[in-house]
Amino acid sequence: MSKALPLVIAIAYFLVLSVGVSFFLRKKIKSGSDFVTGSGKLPWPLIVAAFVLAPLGSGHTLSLWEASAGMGASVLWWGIVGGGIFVPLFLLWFGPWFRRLNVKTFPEGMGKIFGERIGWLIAAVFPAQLIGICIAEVTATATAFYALGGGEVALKNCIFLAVGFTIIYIVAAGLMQVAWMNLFNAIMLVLGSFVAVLFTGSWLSGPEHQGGWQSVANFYAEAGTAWKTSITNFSPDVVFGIIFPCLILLVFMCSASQAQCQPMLLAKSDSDVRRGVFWAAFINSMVAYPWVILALVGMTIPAIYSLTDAAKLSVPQVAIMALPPWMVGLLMIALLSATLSTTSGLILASSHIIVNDIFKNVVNPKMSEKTFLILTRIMILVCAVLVIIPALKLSLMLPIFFWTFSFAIPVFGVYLIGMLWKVNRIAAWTTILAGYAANFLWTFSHPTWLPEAISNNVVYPTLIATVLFGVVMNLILPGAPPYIRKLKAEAQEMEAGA
Amino acid sequence: MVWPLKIFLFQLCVTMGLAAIFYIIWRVTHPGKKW
Repeated sequence: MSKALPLVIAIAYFLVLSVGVSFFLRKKIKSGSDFVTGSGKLPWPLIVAAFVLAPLGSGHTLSLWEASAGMGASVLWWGIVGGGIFVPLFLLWFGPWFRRLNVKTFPEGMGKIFGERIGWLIAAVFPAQLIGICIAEVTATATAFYALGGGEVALKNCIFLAVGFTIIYIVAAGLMQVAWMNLFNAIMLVLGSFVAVLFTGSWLSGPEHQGGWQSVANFYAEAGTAWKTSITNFSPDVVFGIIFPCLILLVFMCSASQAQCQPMLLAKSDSDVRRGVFWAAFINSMVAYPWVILALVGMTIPAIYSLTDAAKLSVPQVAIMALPPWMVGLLMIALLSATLSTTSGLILASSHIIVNDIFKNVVNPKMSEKTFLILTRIMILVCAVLVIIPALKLSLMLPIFFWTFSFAIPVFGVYLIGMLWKVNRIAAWTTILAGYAANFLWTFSHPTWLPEAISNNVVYPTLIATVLFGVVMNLILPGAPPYIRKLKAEAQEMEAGA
Repeated sequence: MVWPLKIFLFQLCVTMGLAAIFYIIWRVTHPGKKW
């Protein structure tokens, strides 16, 4: 029983939370709009929760602790870049811009600025891209179920379990449910993971291990890798494999992601978006910390570092070794809070784009609110099923993230140019298509003479093509004034009218 | 000070420092606007 106890605790927690929140919100969702916008009346703590857990999935947890086996504690720059740069940029600028566009999805916003056809292209690409990321997240969720559950449930069944919990995370009340569930889960994420680090510290000083935290530092020093316990090791691997890709991906991809934009629809006002910026920065950055520390401890234990898949299993193994079963359950809840919230947000975002931008805007503009609601729920189930099959086959996670994330780079580049510099449709089309061409070219024939961190990462050529074509085409071609001016003028007119 | 605490403090200070810089930039570029 003790081996299965963490799994039982985690399943019970998510079942009770999902059913409880669904029951609490059951009467608040009256239309399709309520389902995908959460009625737009929520205060800032719920906006912070809905926003901050969306990009905070296996990239901040499993992928980072896995990468720390090779790069040490410096992988935590991922958290710093996310919390210290991306979060303030989004909550203070990009989020309020999206609200002022007065649209429901990011592709719809692009259509408003550059013409509806560009909106259709993005509406066709983005759901596939979001589902690609979702596959990696489901795999991470299943790994959490499997490894922290002591291998009691087969990995294949863990994938079904992960998808099942994703569906019940959103299907009853959509975005409002995400906000409330994320509020509880953000607390559990911080609490569960940090308490696990404290417990591990006392285990390291206990009779079984002895030597405390210093013994871990000594192990790395004796192995000639003392830099692994330092966050200021700026090796080329860390700079080009973690810091730069993270900066590009979070700022350029997440800012264009519907999963990030949709929590903005929940807010009562722009002020409610801004007010949680310091909390969001803190949570987004610091939740990466406990997993990396636990992984660094795990990789000093012979029974763990000698395993075939040691880097991936380090945290579950050290947790099972050092923590009591109830604490492993709490850690599992923390990890699942990160991955399930991201997966759910991605599935909801994909379903929303498909139903709003394709079924409604293109096929049936007179679609009723009731049909919209039913179709969105059906699409949630369809997207969830689409995720299962590739998730059963996936072995690499970080490259999948980079590849799928990079599809948003040219889109956000074009958006930024249109908002701040100039609006030209030909330049927009050329830049997006050039970015995608560079992506595919690099994917299928990347140069082997470059350092591995660059040649294996499709983010760099996509960004270079975006910047090059975006700047050159807009320098050559004339265009309308920056769109932000139009939005500001509209806002001033409204204020004057009020 | 043990190494995990050093890392924690460094990460916390750099993150919140960066967030504070963006906050100040926003305040300066949006005078009089409600926070």
